[in-house]
Amino acid sequence: MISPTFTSRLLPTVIAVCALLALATPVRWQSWARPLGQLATAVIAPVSHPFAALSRWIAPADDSPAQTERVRELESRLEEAQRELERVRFENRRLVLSLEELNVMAVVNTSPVRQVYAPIFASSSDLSSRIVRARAGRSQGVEVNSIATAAGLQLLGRVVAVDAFTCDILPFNAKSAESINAIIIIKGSDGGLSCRLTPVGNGSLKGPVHDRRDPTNALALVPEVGQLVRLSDGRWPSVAQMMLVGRVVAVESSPDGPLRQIVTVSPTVERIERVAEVVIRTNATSPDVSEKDSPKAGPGVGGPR
Amino acid sequence: MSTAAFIITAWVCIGLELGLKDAIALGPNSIAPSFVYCLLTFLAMFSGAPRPTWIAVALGLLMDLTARVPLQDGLGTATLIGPHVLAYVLSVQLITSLRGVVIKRNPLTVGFLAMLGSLVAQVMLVAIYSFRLWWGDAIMAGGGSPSGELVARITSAPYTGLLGVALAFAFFPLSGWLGLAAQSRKR
Repeated sequence: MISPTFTSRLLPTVIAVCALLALATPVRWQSWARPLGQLATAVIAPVSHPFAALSRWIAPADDSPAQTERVRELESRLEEAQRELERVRFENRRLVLSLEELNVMAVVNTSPVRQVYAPIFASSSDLSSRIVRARAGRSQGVEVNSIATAAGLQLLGRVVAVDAFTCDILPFNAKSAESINAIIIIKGSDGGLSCRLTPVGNGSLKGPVHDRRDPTNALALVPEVGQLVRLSDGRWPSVAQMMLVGRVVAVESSPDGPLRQIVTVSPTVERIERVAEVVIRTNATSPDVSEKDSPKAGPGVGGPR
Repeated sequence: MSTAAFIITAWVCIGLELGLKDAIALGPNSIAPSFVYCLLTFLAMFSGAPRPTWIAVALGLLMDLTARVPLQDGLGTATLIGPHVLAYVLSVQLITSLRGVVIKRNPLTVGFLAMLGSLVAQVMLVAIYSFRLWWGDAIMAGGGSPSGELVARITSAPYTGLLGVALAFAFFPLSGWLGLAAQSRKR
């Protein structure tokens, strides 16, 4: 039996240690806490997952009217085809430039993609980080920097931490996420307009558009509300290129120069962090990934695309 | 107080915190109530010293272990031990100081104390994250500017108070099971 005197003496010590850890210990010296956090998450997951599923059923990510399964499937296929077209165009331009500059054959990254369907089972207890946690981890081939997408190839974010059975996804539109380079797709124009988008904190992204003229008629390309915006950022994996970032919702003149444009982009899926399930795309050549190792192998794990 | 009953209640509340909190968040600025803080308020109101501080340490530790703090330059996330513990320990001192001058058996009291305590805890959290950023720690709490989310965190406090009123209707019938009724009668 622990005496009350002992607990009374222990309490100031515990608080002092916590104060030291909270205020004066660099984050890299607290890596030992991560396994404890994973353990705590594993213990809490059985109760948090039903609540998360219930809340996402009551308030789903997309507020659009109910669609039939067939329409949703066709829209998904259309988006996949459009994304593939843009990716091939982008790749084509890159290769032409590479060939011109280097005069050698460029090596194209043709590594196949593995898709893992993962339910969201919790968010961080401190909502300010906007991190969501999915039930798929290293055992399913998920790695740090794997890409998470929502319905219709809408980019959700990237995996920033992974353990055996779960992973942390930082949405690309979270305030703590980094800026991204993207391309505004302009119909009838070859190439579109590149822009650098920074998360604002309210779910949308904002940033300047680089001036460009249409090579066919020398007219300046202008961004318009409603145009699609796709990722084109070398710091993201190749599997993420030309994924849908969102749609232009506002265009305004830059305060630094009236001829420069600033666009505001919002994801096509409203409240994107509220999706119930994500598709995590990772290289199919991930080490030590086999169907028998994966507890969700089968219907949950997609094969190479 | 029954330790087993406390563990089960804390387990359910942290499950609600992780699973349901973002669903009832208001707007895009993370204005959301805390289920765990409401439990802490209720237990602190009816437990004898020094138990409220121990409960604050335990629940704060649980919150720290389940919070993910993004790191700068996209270097992943980290688990930071301490911020919630300190914030909860400090705020629970306010609750234990005020509990003697309020009508304890009233759900509105739970809400009022949860609101005040949560306010102190949130300000303390912002101060801790700001201090860490000031000396150059590589965290990205609050998008690199914790003070920028002070308003959202302060606005969360009345929301926690409202939730506290609602949860009080569940907590009061559970007080016997939690072993709190006998203690409150003794005093």
